[in-house]
Amino acid sequence: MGIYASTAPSLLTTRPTVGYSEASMNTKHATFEDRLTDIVVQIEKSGWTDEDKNALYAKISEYLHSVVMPVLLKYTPADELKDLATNPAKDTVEAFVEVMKKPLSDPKMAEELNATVHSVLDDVETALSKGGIS
Amino acid sequence: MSEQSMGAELGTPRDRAIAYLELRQHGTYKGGAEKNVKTGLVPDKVRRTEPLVDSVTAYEQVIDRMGKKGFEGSQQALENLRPQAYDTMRGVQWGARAADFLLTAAIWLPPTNRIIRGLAPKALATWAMTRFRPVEWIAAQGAKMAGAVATTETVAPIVNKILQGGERVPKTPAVPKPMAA
Repeated sequence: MGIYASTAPSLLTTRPTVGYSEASMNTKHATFEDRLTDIVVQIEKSGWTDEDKNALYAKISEYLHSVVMPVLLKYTPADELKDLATNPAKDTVEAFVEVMKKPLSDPKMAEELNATVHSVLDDVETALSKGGIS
Repeated sequence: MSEQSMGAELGTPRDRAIAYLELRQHGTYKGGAEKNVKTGLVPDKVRRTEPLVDSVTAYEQVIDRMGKKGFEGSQQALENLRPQAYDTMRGVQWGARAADFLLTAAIWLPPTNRIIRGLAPKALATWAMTRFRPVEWIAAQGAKMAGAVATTETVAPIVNKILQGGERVPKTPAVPKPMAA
């Protein structure tokens, strides 16, 4: 049993590795994490070497992380951020976090980020087919 | 290299898959070599996007100074952000782990990467990355995390690593050699 299930069993849904992935693949109704999990399952079953799998995982991770800031900054109040940047005295971790709370609590940001990461996963699925995994 | 010509010029399935992702991410193919995940603060194409230029510049100045000042207090600050991020991302059916991905990418990785790039030896980089463990945190806070989803032992750690970023995934931790008697 994994660490997640063993520490908080009542809240976690354990699913089988095999048998569910194809059904939810390419489905916009699937959650971001479900789709990512499906992708990992496919890669794990691909027969690629561990080195090749790791390289692909690293690329997927880099790509996913690179799309977050653009969306978040779009919803961050530019004037508050500039004020923080031009006043070193105000520039603390707490002040930075305070500014970032606004985009983080904006439902529109959540929707746009969700659409963005799903489009990244679309790209990943295409990449898998180019790599002979499908 | 165009998307159409990529298949013919790249030999291995891995190269083709990674080249496609690089093409989609950057608009160019950069060689397909395996790289560590060290996400840039802001991608170049975003930096050049007119409406965001001022925000990007300001953001990077703040992050730069935070990196120079050090990280004291940032752990607690992050903890304070979590409930907000979870509530927001629950609206789009993101699980707790995926919401932590948002926080990691947005708040934690940028200054950490700045420290790693500018100042720190590898030991500090490793320390910085290993201090923040969203999955363990979620497990410990299980009663509050209704969206958390566990998968199998094989897949879940990989998904976690992809969401956390930072280090190459998945990597077997170094085992200290026993001391000679």
